[in-house]
Amino acid sequence: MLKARTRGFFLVLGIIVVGACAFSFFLKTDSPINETQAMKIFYDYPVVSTFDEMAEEAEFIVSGRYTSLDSKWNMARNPENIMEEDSENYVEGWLYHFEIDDVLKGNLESSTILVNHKYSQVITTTESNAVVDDEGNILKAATKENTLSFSVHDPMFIEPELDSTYILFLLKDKDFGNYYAAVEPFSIKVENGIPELQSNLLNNTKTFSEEIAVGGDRTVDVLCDVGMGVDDFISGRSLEDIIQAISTSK
Amino acid sequence: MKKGLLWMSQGMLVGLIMACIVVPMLTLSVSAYSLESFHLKSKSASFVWGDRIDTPGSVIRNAWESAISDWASASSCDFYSSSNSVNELNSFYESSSSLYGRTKLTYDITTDAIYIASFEAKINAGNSSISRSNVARSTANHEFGHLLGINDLSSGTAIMNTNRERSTIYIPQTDDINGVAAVYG
Repeated sequence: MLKARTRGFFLVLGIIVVGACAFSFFLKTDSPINETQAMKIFYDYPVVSTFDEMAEEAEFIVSGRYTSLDSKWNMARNPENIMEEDSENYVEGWLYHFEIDDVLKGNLESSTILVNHKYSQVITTTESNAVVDDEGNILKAATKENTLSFSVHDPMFIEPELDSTYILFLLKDKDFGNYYAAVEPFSIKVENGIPELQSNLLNNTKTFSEEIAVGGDRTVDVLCDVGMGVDDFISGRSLEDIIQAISTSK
Repeated sequence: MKKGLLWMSQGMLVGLIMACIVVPMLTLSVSAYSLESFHLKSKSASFVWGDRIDTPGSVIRNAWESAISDWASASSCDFYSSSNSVNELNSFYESSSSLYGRTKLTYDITTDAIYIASFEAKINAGNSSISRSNVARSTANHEFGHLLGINDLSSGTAIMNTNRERSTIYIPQTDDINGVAAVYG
């Protein structure tokens, strides 16, 4: 009886020793960094599919011309004091001078405004050799880490043509005084009196891919997804018709 | 007798044609969701609260907490806070922008193509509409939908409809729930 107990004791002890050694080996083993190869970014922008929605969402609708690029700035702000830049994030906005010919909706006293176009943002991601379970919990802490930082173009950005005529659908940033896209699309270019909707989402395009070099021979595939594309909902409409529709929507 | 058989066979033919038309329509009406090519490994996932919302009480922290509870009720999903997680829920402040939220996912395209390796979901505190009733909650539920493998829609009563009225559609709807069920069974 005693012999059996002793045998059992040593058996359990043996299992514990082997288990502890295996666990210690598991903790000390250095696996290589699990390199980020692909990334997807979903942007939840307000996208509209009709002209009426576009006019309804805008606080200001103006026609006029971009005259020059004023400056580039960091749209990411410190939430504690938004007059300061965010020290952890960088979102580049391009501020353009826009000379107003007509105010079609809203009260605007100035004849020149600054219109912000979001250009890009810096994405930062840390890759490591941490062992992670199916639910995202770290089972084994990283012994090697590498931080990647790169700039991704905003999928909505279209560089405006200086001195061409546009109708813009805008909101006002009450903190900084500049104006920005109320929705997507937010811009109609008027070429020889014919209105043309401006958007990268036309023809129902909703995803945009970029292969970004991150050093050495390495690249990361970044897929930006805006959720929905749009049809050209002003196609065939005249400028007069659009201006009339704006005045009735007010 | 022969006529009777003829009518019966004609009736069967008409029935067959109608079935071919009606059944696919029924199928379409119950599948008003779209699936992503990847999703979380299970409906249970950990996350850490980001540094911008690590203390409770803010509009955005409340929105994430409501959305966790909404998806738990709707589809038995379990998003839980763990300081040991690679995933993050947070907010950011992007001014002069109508962006509501942004979710960044990493996945391995060679070894684990269909599973999300890590995520970072954030709501924009700088959007002037974000404090309006239920808008932040609608955004949070939408971002969780992406993690659960359902894709954006351009119409319909669904949290995944990009064009939804955010103050009235702010919890997962039938189509969203059906989409998640299609992913995880």
